[in-house]
Amino acid sequence: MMPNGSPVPDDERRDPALERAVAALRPLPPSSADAVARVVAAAERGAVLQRQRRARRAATWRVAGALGAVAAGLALLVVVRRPLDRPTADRPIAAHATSERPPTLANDIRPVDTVRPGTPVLVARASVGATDAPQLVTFRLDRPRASAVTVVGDFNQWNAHATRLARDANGAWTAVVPLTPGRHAYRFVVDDSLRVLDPRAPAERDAELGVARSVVVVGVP
Amino acid sequence: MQLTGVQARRAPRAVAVAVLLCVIAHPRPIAAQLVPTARPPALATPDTRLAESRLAASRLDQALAPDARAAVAAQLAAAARAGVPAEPLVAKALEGVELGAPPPRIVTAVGALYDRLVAARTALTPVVSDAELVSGADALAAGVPAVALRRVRASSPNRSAAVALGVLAQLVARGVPATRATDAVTALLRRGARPQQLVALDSAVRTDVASGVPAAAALEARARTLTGGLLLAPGGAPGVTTTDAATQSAGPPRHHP
Repeated sequence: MMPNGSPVPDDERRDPALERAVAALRPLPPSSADAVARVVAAAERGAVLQRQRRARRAATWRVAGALGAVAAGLALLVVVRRPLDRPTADRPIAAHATSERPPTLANDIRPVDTVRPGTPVLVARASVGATDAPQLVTFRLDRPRASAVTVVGDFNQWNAHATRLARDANGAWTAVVPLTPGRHAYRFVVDDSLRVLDPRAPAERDAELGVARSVVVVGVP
Repeated sequence: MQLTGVQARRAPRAVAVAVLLCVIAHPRPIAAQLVPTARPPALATPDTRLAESRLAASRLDQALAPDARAAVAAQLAAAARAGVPAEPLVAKALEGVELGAPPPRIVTAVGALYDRLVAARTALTPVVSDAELVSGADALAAGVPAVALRRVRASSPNRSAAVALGVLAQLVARGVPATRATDAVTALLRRGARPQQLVALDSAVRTDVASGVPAAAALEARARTLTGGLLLAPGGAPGVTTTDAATQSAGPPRHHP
């Protein structure tokens, strides 16, 4: 007999599982509508609470993610800024250079440390960020037998005593001078008397004074 | 951290606003990283130039004879009035002294340089820096016409043209016709060639000429190689470093008789 009092249909009467379930449930007292309603309400409340908890967790993660992004951005600013503040003294740039083999534009820009002995150099090291900031230029003259070599030019008022070169073990005389970007004229003075041009630099003749002088054009990276 | 629903919705917006306020409060360090400062130093005022010329004249007191000293001092004062720097004129005088040149020749040399500085100032207006005035004067001495200086100015309106003019002077002094040298330099400037690239170009041309290549042909080949590697920037924006393939030379240009 069905719970509502109607007879069990013939096809269901033959299902053993159903018959066992019916046999197990038949002794139980009838369900209370009020109890069912309370259970359903409790289930609904539970579902709502769960949704609310999920929403709060998501919001918390959003805030944490935003704060993390801000912190990462600030850290990136600090890290990126530091190299720009430091002058890149280790980025030498050739004001001009000559070599025995045909040069390329890339070869003219070579680190000082890798320049072979004897290779003529006039190399500038540049700092970043300024268009007219002085660039360091190395003047070099190979005079092993000289006792003193200076360089005179428009950058030191043609003062023969202002910029002395230092001699290395190979007899090469060098000095590093800051020059503003542009064109500069100069000469070497050997042993306080002999004026010589730079054999590795282009020369020009001053029409008014009637003398020749070496020229260097200093660039900016 | 437990937030209410409303707080949870508003928190990301609040964080974004806080970040924006931080950026606004510190524009310089952030902007400096994004846009490197490239403004050249301001030109000296007339009063400053006058003071400079007097100071410069005093340095010649011990070096020049009285007559020559007075003539050079007059040139220095004229330079201050004309808005050109006195330092190159003093350097020219001191060079003459260092060489032992006769005073009349020194005075003539200073006067000629003064004329070139004034001409360069006219051609390069608006002048960006004293260095480009000096380079412009040198270019005029090398045979570059004033119209070429104006073209260089037009190709580099906001940046100092000192290096470009120096390279131009070198190219012309080496035998490249002034018009072709100007065409090459201004074209490279418009394509965003950096000063250092122009210097490297000049160095390469010099070596090619030493190898026997005609100067004009050497310039044409080297400029073409450099142009091929530069990103086209019609607006004059700085170019990007050339690729390895573009900067590698195929050897000196061959001269076909």
